[in-house]
Amino acid sequence: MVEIDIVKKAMKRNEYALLQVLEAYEDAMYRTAFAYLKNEHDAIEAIQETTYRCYKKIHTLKEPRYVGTWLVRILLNVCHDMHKRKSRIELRETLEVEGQYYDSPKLEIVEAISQLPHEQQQLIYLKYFQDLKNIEIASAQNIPEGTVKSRLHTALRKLRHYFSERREF
Amino acid sequence: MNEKEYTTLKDELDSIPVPKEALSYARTTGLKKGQSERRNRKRWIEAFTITAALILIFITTIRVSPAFAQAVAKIPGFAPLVEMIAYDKGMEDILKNDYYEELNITETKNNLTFTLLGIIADESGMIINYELDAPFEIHDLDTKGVEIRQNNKDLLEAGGLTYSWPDKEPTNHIEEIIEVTSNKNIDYTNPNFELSITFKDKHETTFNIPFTLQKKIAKSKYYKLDQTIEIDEQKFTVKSLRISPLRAKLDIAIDPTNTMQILQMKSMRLLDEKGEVWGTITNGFSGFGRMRDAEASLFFQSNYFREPKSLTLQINDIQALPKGKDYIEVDFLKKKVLYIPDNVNVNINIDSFNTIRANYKTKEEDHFYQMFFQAVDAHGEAVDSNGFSHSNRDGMSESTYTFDISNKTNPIRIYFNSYENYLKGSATVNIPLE
Repeated sequence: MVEIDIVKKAMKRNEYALLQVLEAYEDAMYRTAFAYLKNEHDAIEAIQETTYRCYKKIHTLKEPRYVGTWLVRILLNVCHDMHKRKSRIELRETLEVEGQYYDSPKLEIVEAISQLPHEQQQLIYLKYFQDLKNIEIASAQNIPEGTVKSRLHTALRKLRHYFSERREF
Repeated sequence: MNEKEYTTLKDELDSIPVPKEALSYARTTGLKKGQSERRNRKRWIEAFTITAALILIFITTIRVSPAFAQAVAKIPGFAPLVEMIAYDKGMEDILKNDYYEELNITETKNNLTFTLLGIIADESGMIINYELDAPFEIHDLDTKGVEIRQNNKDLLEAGGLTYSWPDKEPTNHIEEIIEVTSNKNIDYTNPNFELSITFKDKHETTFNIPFTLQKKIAKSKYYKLDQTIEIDEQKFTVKSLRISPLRAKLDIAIDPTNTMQILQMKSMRLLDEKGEVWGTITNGFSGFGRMRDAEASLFFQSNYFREPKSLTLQINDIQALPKGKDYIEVDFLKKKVLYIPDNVNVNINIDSFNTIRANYKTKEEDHFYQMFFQAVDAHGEAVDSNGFSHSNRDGMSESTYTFDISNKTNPIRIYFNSYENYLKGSATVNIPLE
């Protein structure tokens, strides 16, 4: 994890500090992006776009200690936008995007998570990938703790449902 | 999700290899994009019927007497004007000659307090300085629009307006200026005006502030010149010079039979008989029209209050490309670059269905002009640009342009606005002042 001081410097748009923060979360961010977008090229693009948005918005970060959560949230928004844009383009040009899944590791649970609505995916990644407590997620996301709980509950139920269906095949 | 599934998730994710180098590059690229946009956001330019080129050059060579700067900086609201002195000598003269009308008109609405502090007005335009206060944080409160009315009519049917886009540290207090540039002489027979400014707060608060100017407006000095000069077999006519306190405006005509398309006149300056130099306006409105048009007006820093005996105009470093070889052609549908002139060394990438990215090695660190300015489709219809970004770093100049190509027919022809190819030679014009 990065030191709070470095985050504070980054919040003042110290570019070197911002790069340090992003590098510290590099693995988590890239893997989350990959899980979401399922190919290296798009995941790298998502990191680039996330860097750009972070630079623009870093001054809006309220709590330096939630920087990880904040980053993942931006990242997931970026992934979500890219995903949406992609489906739009595919529709318009009726293009088949082939070979998207080749050489990607077998990601069964990740696959299952990607079936969930956007905000539920966010919660799963926040909770399990970043090891955050419900109350922390609530304050980072600016939503009541009860909402976090109920959303997580719904998400988990859907996941279980997904797995039980698959097992029947 | 139980413990086992959670572990599987962790393992799955951890098994994804991380391309460290590509990510490091991606971060640098993302950051650069943010930086160049921030630079471009610093000043927001709104041009009406006439487009003007905005050149951002931060010149540090102009020396300002620190004592003077310090003295005026203490006057409330003067900080932005002092900032201008750094790149405009004319502004220092204006403040020294007390050519500034204090107004101090305050109005409060929706918790915002707007104070019109004062105005510098002449026939070529106005500089309005104001402050804005609020009980909350307003550093990124954008300005939605500005209008100056005289006789109930918008003063700027033909002209331009520059206002800042605050983007600094969090604050409850903003001191800023609005620069108004008119392409015809403003008539001050009726000295009553109204400033209308709208902010992008949640109420979209608009302040309508009537004001009356009481100080005498300085009369512009006009010199008719009509001198034709030739550089590298290309002809130009220097038509006239009009000097007012805020700026000196030089009208220039370009011979349509020239074989080269003139892009930018990078270096122009006025010298007085003692050799003192006034450069062009380098931050803000730099002129009206473009070199592609047959006629253009270029703005210089004003020496209105100095009353020199004679002036010499020096023109150097004219950027030009051969006519017919001054554009690129792109087919966005086929994602293909169809034409790049052979004398131009630029890499063009088509990033998406409406975006191009151009880069080239540059020797010039200090200046940047937009690489492209206008585009037309296969039927000759103008194609608007939705946005651009520009960066100049490590000897590489990179620009991205996004075009609105809905309902347009490919291929799209995009014209150069600047390129580092220069005419050989320079010219000097003597301007006698009676």
